[in-house]
Amino acid sequence: MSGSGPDEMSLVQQAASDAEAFGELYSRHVKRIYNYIYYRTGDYQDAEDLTARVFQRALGHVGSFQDQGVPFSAWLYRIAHNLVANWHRDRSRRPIVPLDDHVMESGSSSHPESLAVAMEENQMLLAAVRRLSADRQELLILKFVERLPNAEIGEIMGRTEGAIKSLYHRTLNALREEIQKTEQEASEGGRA
Amino acid sequence: MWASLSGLKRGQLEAWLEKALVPVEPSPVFIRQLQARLVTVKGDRVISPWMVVLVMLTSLVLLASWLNVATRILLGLLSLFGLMERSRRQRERTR
Repeated sequence: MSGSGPDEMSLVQQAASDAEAFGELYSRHVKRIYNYIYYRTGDYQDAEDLTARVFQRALGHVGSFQDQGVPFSAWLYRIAHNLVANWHRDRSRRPIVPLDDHVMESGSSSHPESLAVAMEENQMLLAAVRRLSADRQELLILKFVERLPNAEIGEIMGRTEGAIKSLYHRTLNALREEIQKTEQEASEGGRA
Repeated sequence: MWASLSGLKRGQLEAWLEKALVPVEPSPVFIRQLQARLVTVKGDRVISPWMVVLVMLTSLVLLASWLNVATRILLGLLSLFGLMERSRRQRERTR
């Protein structure tokens, strides 16, 4: 659950002067922030570095966080979003798709060749996801990795539930186009 | 291979996304080390009131010590000046 209840808001207020309270907030949110950054960057080392920077920045500015009906997690995601954007701008490189820290195990055959094909398809799909705009990537990560409902995704992204549904529909269409482009590039590369 | 993905219907694409976008576990060592750093090192605005009191008291003690030393030095210089002046007058009387 990403929504900030009264318990979390009081924790946020304490975190301005109590490092232990911030530590509790950290424990609650670090994995989701890490996952978001990992899927945006495609590299676990960059994900660790940027995750650390997110929470260091959050620690320095938690005193200025104001409860305006937006979840605390949304604030963290915004910091992460900005840092990832800076990372892409500074690096100006194609996203790295690592051979993997996580291996798709469920639903795949135990046959090595099937597993290798499945992994390669996953990586190609992830590469296509990373070519989408930042908002669309964020939506897919929150929907599929965090398994959040559209209403909560809307709270985090600052949009209505209807806008999220519309964005999701456009995102799937854009993803399909990216996959088709990659397919064409692959077949042209094979002919060359 | 890609032909199978680009021709996917919405439901099939969502199923592939569900398989590909799965939660990733960060390194436990990284999690622990970062937490230790964050909890130990205070942020810019995370200042304990006791720290403020301690800094003020230390500043007062240092100021008092400095004034004490400065006063002693000044008195010493004045004494030296007085000695020099008295010595000069004695030399003038004996001439």
